[in-house]
Amino acid sequence: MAINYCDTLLAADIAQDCSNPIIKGIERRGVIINRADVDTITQSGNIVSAITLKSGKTGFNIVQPAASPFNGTQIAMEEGTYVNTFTNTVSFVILDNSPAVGTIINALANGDYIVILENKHKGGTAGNATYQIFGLQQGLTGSEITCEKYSDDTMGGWQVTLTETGATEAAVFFYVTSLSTTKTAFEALVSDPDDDE
Amino acid sequence: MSDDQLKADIKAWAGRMGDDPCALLALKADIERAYYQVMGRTLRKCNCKDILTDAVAEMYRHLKQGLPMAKDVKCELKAGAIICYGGEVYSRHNITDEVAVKALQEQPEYERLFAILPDMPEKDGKAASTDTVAEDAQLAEKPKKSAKKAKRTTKR
Repeated sequence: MAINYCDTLLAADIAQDCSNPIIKGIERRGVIINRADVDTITQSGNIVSAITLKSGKTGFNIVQPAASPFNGTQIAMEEGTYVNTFTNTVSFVILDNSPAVGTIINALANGDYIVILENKHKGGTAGNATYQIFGLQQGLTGSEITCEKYSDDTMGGWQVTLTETGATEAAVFFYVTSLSTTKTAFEALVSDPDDDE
Repeated sequence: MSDDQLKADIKAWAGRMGDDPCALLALKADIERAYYQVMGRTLRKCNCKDILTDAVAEMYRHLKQGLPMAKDVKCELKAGAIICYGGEVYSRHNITDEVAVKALQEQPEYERLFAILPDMPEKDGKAASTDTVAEDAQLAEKPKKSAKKAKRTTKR
């Protein structure tokens, strides 16, 4: 029997999709989930087709200003000794400051999260590139949280950066049979859905 | 307040939406109460000027679509869970007891997706109780009841 070296082999052309040109950016609303609240995840390759939370648990909306939502969000490869991995970074602002926001910041600083964001680039007619998941493997944790009182960008609000290191999948998408079904599943994660979408 | 009265109030509020937005402010407590009954969640706490107008529009649209009021729906799907029945996709935001019962009869494996199961009709046509408090009390009285039923209660 041949030894399996688990080498990753390329199996497709690398080319631009001329009928669906790439569009930069992220829509202004995402969902954040406590990893501890996740009940089940159904995943095949880099596509997650179901996320169910435990009874009584819910996800929470992250709503961003229209200009450059989730600015700073990125994926970067990290070179390892034997295996290269990916670092996922999700950045967002909280244009507010109050005791309630302070409680949220405390949680973000010390918790472990999954964030689902909606790309502006939907990925063609199927739309399977619409929702992208960050923090699925190792979890997103707070890596930089600042509140600059004289910042012209945040106007004294909070800038939050969550980071996941050591992810072996470059990109994980959330897609359930069709885009409309995926939207229903996405909205089902939060108590306060966006019915207008 | 009866369901008919509640629906009439929402219709009346919707009719006033084009007026001065401040007109709904005087009805804030009533709208918040109605929103919880119809949508099953509290109105979000924010100072958005359109929050009451949005809430009324959401309730009006919900009822116009023929969807049941949240207070009348006993079953609850877990967050993120969806079920497909009759060509439609249901989540915790639009599931009804009637749909849940039919879907569970067709596909019992959906049971794991529910935080609270609907009243399932028994073979003689009577509804099986899913009242948590009552069932918990029943289980406390009869601790040796079937493991399956005990497991179902623990899941909630």
